[in-house]
Amino acid sequence: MTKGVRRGWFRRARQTSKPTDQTEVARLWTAHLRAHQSANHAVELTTQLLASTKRQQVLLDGALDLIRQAANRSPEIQDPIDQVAHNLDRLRLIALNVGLEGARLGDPAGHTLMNMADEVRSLTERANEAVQELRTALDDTLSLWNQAVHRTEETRHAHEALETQFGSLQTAADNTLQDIQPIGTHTRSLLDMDPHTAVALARVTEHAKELIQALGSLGDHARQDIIRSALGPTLHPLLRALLQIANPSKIKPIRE
Amino acid sequence: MPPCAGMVLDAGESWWFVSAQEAQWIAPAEPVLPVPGMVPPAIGLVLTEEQVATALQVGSAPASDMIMCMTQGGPVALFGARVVATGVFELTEGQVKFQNKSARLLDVRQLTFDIEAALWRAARLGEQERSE
Repeated sequence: MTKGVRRGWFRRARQTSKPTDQTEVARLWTAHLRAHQSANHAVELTTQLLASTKRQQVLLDGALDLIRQAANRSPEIQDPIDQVAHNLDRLRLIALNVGLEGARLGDPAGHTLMNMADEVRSLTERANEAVQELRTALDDTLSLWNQAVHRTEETRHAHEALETQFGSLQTAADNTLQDIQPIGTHTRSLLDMDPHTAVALARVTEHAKELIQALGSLGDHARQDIIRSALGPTLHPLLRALLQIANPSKIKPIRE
Repeated sequence: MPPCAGMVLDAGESWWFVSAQEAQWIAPAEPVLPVPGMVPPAIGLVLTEEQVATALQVGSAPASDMIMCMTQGGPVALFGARVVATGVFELTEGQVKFQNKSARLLDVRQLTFDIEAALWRAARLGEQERSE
């Protein structure tokens, strides 16, 4: 290396007593880039989560309204049932009174009346039992509806808490993203290098190491002329490029 | 004894039989107006079909009906009993058999007489106490 012509990375490497490791710099930038991408992804995800939570909240509200409407319509079913029960009771009384009149008339005049009264009375009793079963079923259904309302309300409250937590998460993700950005700025000013250059340099370093390792693996037994003829077309431009980097004023740039 | 027309009542602890001569009709129970000084089983008065009837508690069954009877003393309404059956029954030794149960004859007329007598006795006792 010659004095006065070195720029950028080479000069910095010579001036500092402890040369900066390109790989470490590249790792730093890669980590930064990944952190930036992850923070961005987190912000996007939390935004989507928040949106879907709000959509679910609307759906839950709709379901809650429907269940409440269903529960509130119970009087519309209960009132007719009560009316039927009342009418059946009246019918039972009529049957009893008809039976009494039939009994008063005695046999055979009142026989038909008594039979009819018995039949009507037994029918009303059976109908009353059915009405009672209907009432029990309705009460059970109402109880289930009320439980459904209660549980849906609980779910809604839990959902609200979840929404708040997602909101906090989104704020945290936003803050992380905002905090990562100055890290990049400070690193750039400290290292006097942009992340893409650092990553590219790291890659070059890695490839160079691999090349040296591969050349070493050829060993001494391989014929030099074969190596030259095989690797020459590839290594010759590489050597020129390396010389160009080392001494740009003396070597013409590679044009391909 | 010849067959007797009437109705069988379930009064909770016991069953009663009321003849059709006394029982007139069955009606939904009306609210009873309590009257001070009435002697049980009389519990008050009840207004039905534009008639004022004496309300008698003849049992403890939960019943939504009252049995209207007509006696020489006037209309009487029976409470606390549920009509189980109406028809013609064999009345033997003051009771009828229905569904393997015995229903004793409820003499409403006698019951009202007893109540009236008790009321008179109470009134006389009161007069005596006042005179002393």
